[in-house]
Amino acid sequence: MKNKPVRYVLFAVMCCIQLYIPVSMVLQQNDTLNNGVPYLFLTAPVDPNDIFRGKYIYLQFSGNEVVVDSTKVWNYDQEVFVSLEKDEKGFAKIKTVSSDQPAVREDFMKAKILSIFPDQHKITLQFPFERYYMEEFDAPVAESVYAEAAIDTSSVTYALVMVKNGKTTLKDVFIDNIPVKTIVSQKSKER
Amino acid sequence: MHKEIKEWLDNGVIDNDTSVRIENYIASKQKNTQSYFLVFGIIGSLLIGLGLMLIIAHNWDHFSIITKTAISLLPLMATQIMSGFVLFKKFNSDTWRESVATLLFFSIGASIALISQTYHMESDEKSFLLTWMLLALPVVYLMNSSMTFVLFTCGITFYGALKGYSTVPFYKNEYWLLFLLMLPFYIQNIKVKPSGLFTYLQHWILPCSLLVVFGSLHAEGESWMLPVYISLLSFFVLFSYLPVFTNLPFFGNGYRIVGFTGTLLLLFIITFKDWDIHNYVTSAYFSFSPIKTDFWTTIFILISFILIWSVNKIKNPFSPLFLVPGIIFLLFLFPLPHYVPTIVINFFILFLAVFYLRQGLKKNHLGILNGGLGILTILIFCRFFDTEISFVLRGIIFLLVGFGFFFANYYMFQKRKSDEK
Repeated sequence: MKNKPVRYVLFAVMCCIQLYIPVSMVLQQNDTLNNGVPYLFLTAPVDPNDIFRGKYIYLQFSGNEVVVDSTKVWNYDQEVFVSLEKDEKGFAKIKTVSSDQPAVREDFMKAKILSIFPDQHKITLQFPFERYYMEEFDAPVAESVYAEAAIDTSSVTYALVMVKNGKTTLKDVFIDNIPVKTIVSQKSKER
Repeated sequence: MHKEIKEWLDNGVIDNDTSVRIENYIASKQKNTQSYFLVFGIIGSLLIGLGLMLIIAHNWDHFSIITKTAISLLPLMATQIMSGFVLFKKFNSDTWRESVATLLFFSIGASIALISQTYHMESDEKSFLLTWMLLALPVVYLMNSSMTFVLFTCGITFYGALKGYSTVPFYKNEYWLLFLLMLPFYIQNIKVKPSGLFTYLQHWILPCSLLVVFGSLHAEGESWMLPVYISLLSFFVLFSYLPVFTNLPFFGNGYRIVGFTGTLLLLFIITFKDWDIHNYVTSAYFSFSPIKTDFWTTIFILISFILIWSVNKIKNPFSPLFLVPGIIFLLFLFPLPHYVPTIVINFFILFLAVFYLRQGLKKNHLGILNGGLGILTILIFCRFFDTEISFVLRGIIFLLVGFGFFFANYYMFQKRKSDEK
């Protein structure tokens, strides 16, 4: 590129795009956090050996199975739109699954098909909020706390997720109504 | 120094030739110093960039979301300002340009990573890598940075493999598009800096990247991957004989080394009787189908192969490796008894060994001669695993080959001596 002014202009455009992408990510996430509808997603019992993922807790959810008329129309890894509703206890529940964006004004989110069970007319979904990042040194403590709670049937573990226009943001993870970060800081002090 | 040289010249202390020699000497010294600065500048940038990523990976929970967001954008903005400064003031300095571009490359990744962590965003490495690489591509061109090109190639290769080796069809893998997008920079580099160290590095990294991602063209139930890889590797060999690559030093021509060693390695695998090409052949021959990516990739490479060969008239130097894709293709195409391909490839490797031995002797080239002997030795060694020959006989064969090495080299030295006389 011999022409210097053109290079300068293109450089300025490049810098703007490079800043625009992370900034727009931040704005969109903040919008969902501040203006989204809160949904509580119950987590599934976990194998404590399977949740160690370094600096985040790997969340698995219990209500991710959907009974469908025919499994033939769905493909593995396909992106789907999930309409949400709340059950009598106030936890999130899948209302419908569709390959098209819901037209009516209702809360929905995107998910991916994790597995298909043709015999049982069932598909399982992968939610887009499986990771809850913690500080490097807190993550192992959080993981063991979460694992203990997730296999203990008497304790209720759930994730608070904000939902807006198909976008989701994981806000917090609770064990028996206490944020996991609070439990971790207590445990860390005890040690 | 230049002033002093002029003064010495004016006062008759040195003559004109000596002054030119001194000037040249100083210039070469300066070039060396610049190269050192370049290498250390890039290493420094790489370390700072990686350090930045690691510090961000700690995920500072005690900071508020706003602080974390500001921190995630700071390195990016700082390196952008530095890049702007280099673009305006220091664009002719390789050291400045490459170091700052490398830093900018990592800052982009670091800022997206930290934002993803702050908001516990989607756990998808693929979309993270794709965003990072798309934002980094203009850095390669606008900063004219070869190091960023290398990092970009590594990034898209990783992305291409992650995406390709899943259930995604090849045309939905953005790797191929990104690969095409970076080619103009590579071609420009070959034109402008044909003997630059970075250009040599690029001659290695491009074929390696293709080798990694090509396996993802394999679709379920297809068995044409062997012809695909053989054709690709032989294509590299042919490509390495194009006029632009002919003056490269041995280790600068990555295509040739990757192509040669890869083809030979695959051929040696086929020579084993337990490795049943027939298994592949039975499911492969006559499986012409428009959706078979493996098969059509082989055809595509073969056609490009023939085109390059005929258009550029690469007849000299002829390499028997050019015949390999054709042979493998024919072996795959026709329903032959399972031992036929094994025997054909064994004899073909024997032919290769003899060809290079003869060529080495004819050209008086020790490298080619010993290459031929090496191929022969590996072939014999491989056959020891197939056959139950007694240790004594194996020993004798190795002794003979060993003496062969010795005498061939000795003969060559003697020939050279008599030629010199």
